[in-house]
Amino acid sequence: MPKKRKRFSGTHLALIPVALLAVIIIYLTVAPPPDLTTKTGVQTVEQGGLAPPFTLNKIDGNGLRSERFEFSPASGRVVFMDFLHEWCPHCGNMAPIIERLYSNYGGRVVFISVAGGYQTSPEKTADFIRKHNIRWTVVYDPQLEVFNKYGVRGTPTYFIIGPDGRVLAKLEGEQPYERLAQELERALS
Amino acid sequence: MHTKHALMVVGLLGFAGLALSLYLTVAPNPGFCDITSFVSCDRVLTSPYARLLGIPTSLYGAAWFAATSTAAFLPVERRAVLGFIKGWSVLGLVGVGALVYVELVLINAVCLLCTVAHMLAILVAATTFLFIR
Repeated sequence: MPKKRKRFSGTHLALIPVALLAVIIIYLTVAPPPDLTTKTGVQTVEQGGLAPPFTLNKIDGNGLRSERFEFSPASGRVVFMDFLHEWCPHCGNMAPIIERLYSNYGGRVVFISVAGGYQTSPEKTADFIRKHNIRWTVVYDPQLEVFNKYGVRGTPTYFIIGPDGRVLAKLEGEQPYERLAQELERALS
Repeated sequence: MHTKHALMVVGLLGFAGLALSLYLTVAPNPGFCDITSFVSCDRVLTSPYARLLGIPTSLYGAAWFAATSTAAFLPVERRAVLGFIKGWSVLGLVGVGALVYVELVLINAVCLLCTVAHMLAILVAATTFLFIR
């Protein structure tokens, strides 16, 4: 006697969505993705607070370098720090503005870009540096450790750090040139 | 449209919404979604409102769509399912309203893929109230 084959029933169909949801929830629990938002319990910097020191590898148009860059906030000079991701369109939009800012203030202000490694690679970041002809120091933050230390929630985010290492301004998102220049003038005065 | 067919449509819309919400939860932000500083998935999905109680907001959407789809496909007593889907649709519409408010007023940016998910939720509600008796 031929075996009766089980038919795919409505109950099976109904279980697919909840099963799919359960699989994703388990996946997210076991392997949570790196987070761009501020983590609870991590001390992050705010305006008026001391900028945390850090050490990261430098990166340029040729790729990731073995040379380490050590950032000491109380350097006696004003620092302009730019947090970016190569895939972030707003960072691309801001690149000519930051370049103009560097042309006008590069002699008096230290420029540092911190390029995040979320959903990208050093090679793609090097392409971004070449494409936008970035001439100042760029460091690569593969695990977003410095991003989290500074409480960066999205890119681009800009910090202006005073000569004593205090954060004078934190600006999130695209900014007009005039706003950034005004903040730098204030820091330099 | 017959109720049986309407339930099938609701189930399929729910499944499409579930797939999209899960994509928004686990996949990287697609480049095509960032058109201007206002129409930008990146701005919305990296904003502080992208998480609620530490859980990605899109995962709440995924749960809503999964429950919708499951209820629509479930071969159980019709009246209970219909009542659930109607109530659930109202909850979905309230959620969509809240999310649109957050995007337009608090973030001042719109995420295209999130908008597609909102449209699917609205379509679920519309199909439920127009065709399910």
